[in-house]
Amino acid sequence: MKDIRAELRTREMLTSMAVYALLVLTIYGAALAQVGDTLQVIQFAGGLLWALIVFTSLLGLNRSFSHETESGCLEGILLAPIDRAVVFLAKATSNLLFLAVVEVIVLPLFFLFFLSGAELAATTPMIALPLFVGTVGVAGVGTLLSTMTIDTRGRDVLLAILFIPVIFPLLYACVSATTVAFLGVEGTFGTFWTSCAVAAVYDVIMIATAWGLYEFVVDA
Amino acid sequence: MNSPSTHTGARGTLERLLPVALIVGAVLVAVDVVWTFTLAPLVQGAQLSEPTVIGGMQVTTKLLLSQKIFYLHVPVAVASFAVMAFAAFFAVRFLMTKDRAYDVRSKTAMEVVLVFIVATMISGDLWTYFEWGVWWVWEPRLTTYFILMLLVIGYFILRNAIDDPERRARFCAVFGIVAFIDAPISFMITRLVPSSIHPVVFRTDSGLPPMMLIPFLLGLFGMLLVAFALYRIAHRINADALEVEELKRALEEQDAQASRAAADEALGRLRATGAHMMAGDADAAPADDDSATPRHDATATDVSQAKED
Amino acid sequence: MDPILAEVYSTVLPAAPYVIGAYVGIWLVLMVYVLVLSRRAKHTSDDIETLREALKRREEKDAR
Repeated sequence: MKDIRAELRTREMLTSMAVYALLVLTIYGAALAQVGDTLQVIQFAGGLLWALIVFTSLLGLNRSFSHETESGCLEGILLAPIDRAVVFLAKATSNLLFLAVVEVIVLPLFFLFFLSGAELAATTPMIALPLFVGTVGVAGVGTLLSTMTIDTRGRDVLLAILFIPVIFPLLYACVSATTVAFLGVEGTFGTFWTSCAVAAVYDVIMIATAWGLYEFVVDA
Repeated sequence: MNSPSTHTGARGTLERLLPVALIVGAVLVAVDVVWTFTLAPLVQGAQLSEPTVIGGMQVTTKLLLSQKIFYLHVPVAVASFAVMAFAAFFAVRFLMTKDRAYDVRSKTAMEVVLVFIVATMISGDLWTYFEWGVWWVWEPRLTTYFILMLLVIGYFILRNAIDDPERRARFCAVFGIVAFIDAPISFMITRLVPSSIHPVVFRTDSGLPPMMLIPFLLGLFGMLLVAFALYRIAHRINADALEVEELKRALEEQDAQASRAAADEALGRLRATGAHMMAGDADAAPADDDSATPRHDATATDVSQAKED
Repeated sequence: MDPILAEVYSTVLPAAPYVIGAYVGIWLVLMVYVLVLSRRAKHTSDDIETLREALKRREEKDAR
């Protein structure tokens, strides 16, 4: 709760993350500039979108903590007699909401830059589901890992090194589901539901693990 | 020959069995390899243009040598995952008991895992190149294994990044558990989520005939034994190294305390002498060498000089 | 050799270096690890020697 209120007061992090996402889109633009019109961007738009989300999340997860270590909030929270696992829930939820807001900002930009010329299938709104499931997973795992890496040398790099392999299965499933939704081809929707189900299973298992392990990580 | 600390009868026998385990494991692996190349039939490959008869049996396909890699590659891969289970188990025990011994065990197990993973990747990659003509393919098994390798490398990078030993042990234990849980999920997901664009090619390994099954199983058990023996040896070395490090640190601390105490004592005596002199001679100011920051050897020798004077 | 037989075994020779490479590779990695371990053990026993000597020197100094 505190985090959200703190964020609402200082929009600094939100704006910088939105700008960062914009810059990643710019890089995509440069990367795809030579491609021309014949390439079907839709086919890997799902992958591009999720790569964008992962990169932005990495930034967001760390910044939310450095904000706290700077103002010494973490010790304050720990002094209060709250169950450590509850701290996890609070942090993860605030991270989740944060990422959700960023995605709301970034998605239209993504569509604008890359998909305005493309023929999107009618099923495109279905990407909301993998987006939701994926973001939940990212927030949960990310909260645990960023709590570990916050005080170490090379903090951001270390977070990326630990985060990306762990999140990989989720990423894979979400990209698959999102791509199916973008393409909207008849008969592939079994894949969509399988991917979402698998991603959901990932979420349940990993968040339970993170929740259970969080108390060992937060005495810093 | 006896290991230090609280290891009693059961552990003692385990230690003595160690060289036996290593030798048995090596022998099993050797048998596996030899059998592979002599008795096990070659596996079928692409279709021949017309069938022929070899050794009284009709043969319709080419016979592959490259499949022989599997006799060692798969046991190594399985062993790596088995040892990782132990690493995770030790990590859990560490978090439960806070006993440093478990952290050493977990870390050592992870080292062995890394070794076996690298071995698997090398043999797997060579097979991939021969079979498919490319050095890499985003195929479920390869991808999962790559992720596993990244997780273990991440474990060691995390280990190096934290200086405080207690925190280091705790965080690595947590990550070890996360990695161990993540690996099978990764495996499942890459198998269950079919790609919407490119179908994933699955290798269905049907049951092996006995001539092939036996060397495979021998190799499997042999590798597991080798892994176990290697882990135990590594553990002993690591545990000893850790003890020596702690002894060094304890001795340095003793040194620091001793020289600090000696310096304090010298300072006290100098002050006393100074006060005495002041009482006798109002002008003389005591030469107060402020050795308030004791540096071990220098002040120690200074003090011993002062003592002897 | 009978041409059919030649075809049957046609992949064997090209495969051989890879197979040998795989086996050697596995063995090599294991040996490297053993080497690392033995280097660590030697380092540790060197440390023990140094500590032992330091202890002896200290005992002599105290005795004086």
